[in-house]
Amino acid sequence: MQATLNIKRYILHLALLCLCCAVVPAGRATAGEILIVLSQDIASYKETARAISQHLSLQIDQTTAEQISEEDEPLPLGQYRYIIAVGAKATREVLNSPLTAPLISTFIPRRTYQQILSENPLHPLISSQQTTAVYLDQPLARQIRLARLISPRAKRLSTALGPDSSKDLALLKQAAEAQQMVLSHALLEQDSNPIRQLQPLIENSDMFLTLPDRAVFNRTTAKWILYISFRQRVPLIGFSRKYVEAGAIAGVFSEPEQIGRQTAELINQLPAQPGQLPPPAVPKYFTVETNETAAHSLRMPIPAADVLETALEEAER
Amino acid sequence: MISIQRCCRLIPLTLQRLPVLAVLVALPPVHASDFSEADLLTDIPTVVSASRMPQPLAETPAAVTLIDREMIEASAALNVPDLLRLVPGIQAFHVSYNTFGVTYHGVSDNFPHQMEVQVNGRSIYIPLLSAVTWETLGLVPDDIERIEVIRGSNMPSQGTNAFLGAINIITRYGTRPEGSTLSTTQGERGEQRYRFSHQGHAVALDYQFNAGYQQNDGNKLFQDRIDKSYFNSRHSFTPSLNDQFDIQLGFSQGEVFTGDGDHSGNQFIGREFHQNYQQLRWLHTLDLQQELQLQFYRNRLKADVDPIPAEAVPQVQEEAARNGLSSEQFTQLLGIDGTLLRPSREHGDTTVNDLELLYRFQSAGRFNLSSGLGYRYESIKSDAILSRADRQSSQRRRLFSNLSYQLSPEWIWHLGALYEEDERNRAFSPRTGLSYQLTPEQTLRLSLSRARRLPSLLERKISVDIRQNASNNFALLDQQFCSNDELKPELNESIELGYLLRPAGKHGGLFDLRLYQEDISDALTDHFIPFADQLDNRCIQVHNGARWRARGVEFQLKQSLSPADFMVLSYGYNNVEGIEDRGLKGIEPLDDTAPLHTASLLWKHQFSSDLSFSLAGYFMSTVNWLEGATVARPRKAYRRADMQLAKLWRLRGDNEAEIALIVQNLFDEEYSEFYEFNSFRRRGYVRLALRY
Repeated sequence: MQATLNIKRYILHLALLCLCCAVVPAGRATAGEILIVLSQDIASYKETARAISQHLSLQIDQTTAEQISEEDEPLPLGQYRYIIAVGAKATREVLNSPLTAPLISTFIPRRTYQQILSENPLHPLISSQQTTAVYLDQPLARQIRLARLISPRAKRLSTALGPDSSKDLALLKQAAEAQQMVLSHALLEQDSNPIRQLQPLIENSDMFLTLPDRAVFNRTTAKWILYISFRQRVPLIGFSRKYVEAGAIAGVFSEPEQIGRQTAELINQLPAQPGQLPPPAVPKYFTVETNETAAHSLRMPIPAADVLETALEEAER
Repeated sequence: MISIQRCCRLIPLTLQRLPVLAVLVALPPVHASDFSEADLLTDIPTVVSASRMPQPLAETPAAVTLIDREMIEASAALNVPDLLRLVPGIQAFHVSYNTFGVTYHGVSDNFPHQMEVQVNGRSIYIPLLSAVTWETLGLVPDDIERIEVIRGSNMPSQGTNAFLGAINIITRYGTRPEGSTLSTTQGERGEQRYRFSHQGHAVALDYQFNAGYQQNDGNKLFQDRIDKSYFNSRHSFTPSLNDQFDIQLGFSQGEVFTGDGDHSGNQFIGREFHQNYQQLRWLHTLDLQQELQLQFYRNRLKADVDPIPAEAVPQVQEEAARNGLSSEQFTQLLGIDGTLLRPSREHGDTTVNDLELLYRFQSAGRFNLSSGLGYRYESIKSDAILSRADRQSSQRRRLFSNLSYQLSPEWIWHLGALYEEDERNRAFSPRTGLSYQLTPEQTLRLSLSRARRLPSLLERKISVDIRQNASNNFALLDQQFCSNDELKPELNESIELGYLLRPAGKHGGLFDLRLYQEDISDALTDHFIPFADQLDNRCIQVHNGARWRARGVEFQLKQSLSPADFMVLSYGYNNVEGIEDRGLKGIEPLDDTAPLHTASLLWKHQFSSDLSFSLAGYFMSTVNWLEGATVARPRKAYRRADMQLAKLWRLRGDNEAEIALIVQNLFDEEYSEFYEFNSFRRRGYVRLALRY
């Protein structure tokens, strides 16, 4: 009986070993210089990781947050020069793991990254400034500048804030003022009546800016924001490609490939000897998308997307 | 394929009578309730009809064609069925000047019964006629945002009538600026249309309503005129971010003349109609992944055909003589004043009450599910078609589910099923398929389905007898239809291979190809059986007696040629082989009851932001419509070209005015649709609209 059990255990270990080898192709035996940790093994994270690999000439290992949290085998502590966490979950898992290499969190929203830092102030990597980030979301100034480029005469900018995006109200007001716009907003909660709150807000504005909040909020408000802004002929700036496809007149966002490229460039610029990491960075590469059908319906001629993109790039130089 | 109309061949009485997964795949998981990148990438709510889930075209379990607003505006269509000519494989035709039939892959009479048609999720299938009465709808192309057409069986999503295809018409709501539109269309054959629409808001309520009037003189030969008025309203109330109530109400009423255009001297009969509907929908978002929808709707149609007036008796008598009825028999039948019978059987009162609960679940990444249950109560009261005064009813219960599972980044597995039962039958209709993403732009799809359509209330209960007048003690003269409560479900076993190409980029376009084989068996047909009566000793009984195989290929190519041009080319090749057993009349072939080729081409050029020109061309090859044509005299192939020139003026404020010149059958090549004498020449219209 004991022999049978031993054989079973041996087979189980063998299977686990094979599985680990399959998951981390470079293998722990010949560890690379960079470890990329994906929040999940899905397309957007993988595209970010692919772009990082394309623009780096270093040896790269790749794993997922789930594998790190469930890993029975000891991790090769200190063996990597940098760890790149793609997304919020990966960032949290890396900070919860014994991994000690400097951490670059990428493809992560600014607010999420800041919250993770504030939740773990005593973590050695955080306290020694061995962490940095490449944000996924666009700086507010860039989004409002896009609104200005589309509607040079707009004076009144409005937005709907949810439980999370409301934290950015002060920053948002500042960014609007910098573009000589007056910001008005509505705070929407779960039991808010969207028509009652959005209708007067949109009616009294020249431009509406959508800000990302929790997904449920984004999805439930989007329909009414799109409907009402269209009816009032108020152009809408969307925060994602999906928003532009759904009816926003334009939007600025970064693709996984662009975030991955910037992350790789960040690593290439770091000194060979690890020291403090630079402060987090907003997306350097971005895409502007316009919706010609929406523009036509609003009777609002807008510049081509590439013209807007170039204008934004020049304004930030 | 049951044809109420067939009984009119026996005596002279005219009896007349359809996205997320890519995003979700890319959509990271939700981490607890914290804000994360998943929230930025979330889907902003796209094709719902195929699986009752918002899905991009590349991930639907069936072939889907979208007719979008751009196509609708370019089409020069005045009637909704005309828009459906742009869908590959679909045949839309005038049965008379103001009545229409829409079928998929032919094999139809003037009351196509194997396609489900919905407006905003409400079935508009009429139990009284077991078909859609397009002319009674208060719906014009200007009301429509888009039409989703499922090519092929779609029972797991849209119920038993979606046997060969399904159409969901989504009206324009929230996609027009607040304000009003006043429009009129004037043209050929006394066509006059007036329409007013308004959309706005009041505190917490979003609303829209429209009202309109239409009349024309009909075909020159038959004077089959129409006049109708209608009103529709829609209101949305949003008590919280997670709840939305939609209320839709409407009615239409008027009179339309219908008849058989197979003889030039046929008398067309006026049918008054009163139609109304109420639809209530509650949509509740449980969380990011789960949604509940509860919907109730009620449709009612009351159609009135007056008994034959004395002054019409000579014409009816003449028609009777052509059909071999002696004047003695005629007198026996109608008496001298001819007031005992209705000249058309499209008479009665019918209701549909439908309640449905739908649950949608979208997991972050791999798994999408929509399931539901529904209950439908249908009733018909008609002394013309049921030969009895009381109301006949049917209760149906259904359970349905659709599942999409992402096997790998390239493979999606689809599984769907409908279980439905009524008093007499129960049926299980499964569908399964696989989608394979060849490249981000190309998708292959393989689907298998077995669809069983429950016989409708009319098909089971139709009973038509002709009795003599009072002086003859109302003795039975002729039993035209005998009811058959033993009908089995019709069966459609189909296999299809689809290919979808959506090139990236601004002028990306779309190419959608479908190869299919559909084996239809136990299809309903009119079966002549012996029956002792005074006229012909036989009656028609609806019977599971037809079967055919349809094989073919169809495609649609949509392409922007330049920033100012776009074109849509649709083509369907459909080869049908089959037979129907008509009892005493023997076995008849069905091989030529579907056109081999159906094609359309739409092209629009925008000269400037306020001036556009569009051309639409249609082709249908020879077809022998059931009841509409004969083997000896099939409907000939036809070509038709329509054009539209539209000019917009921007007035002060947000006001604008538009004038459009529309010419249908531009080259004036006379052609007939469905019936030989239901012919069309060039016709012109002017449309004026003021938006303010």
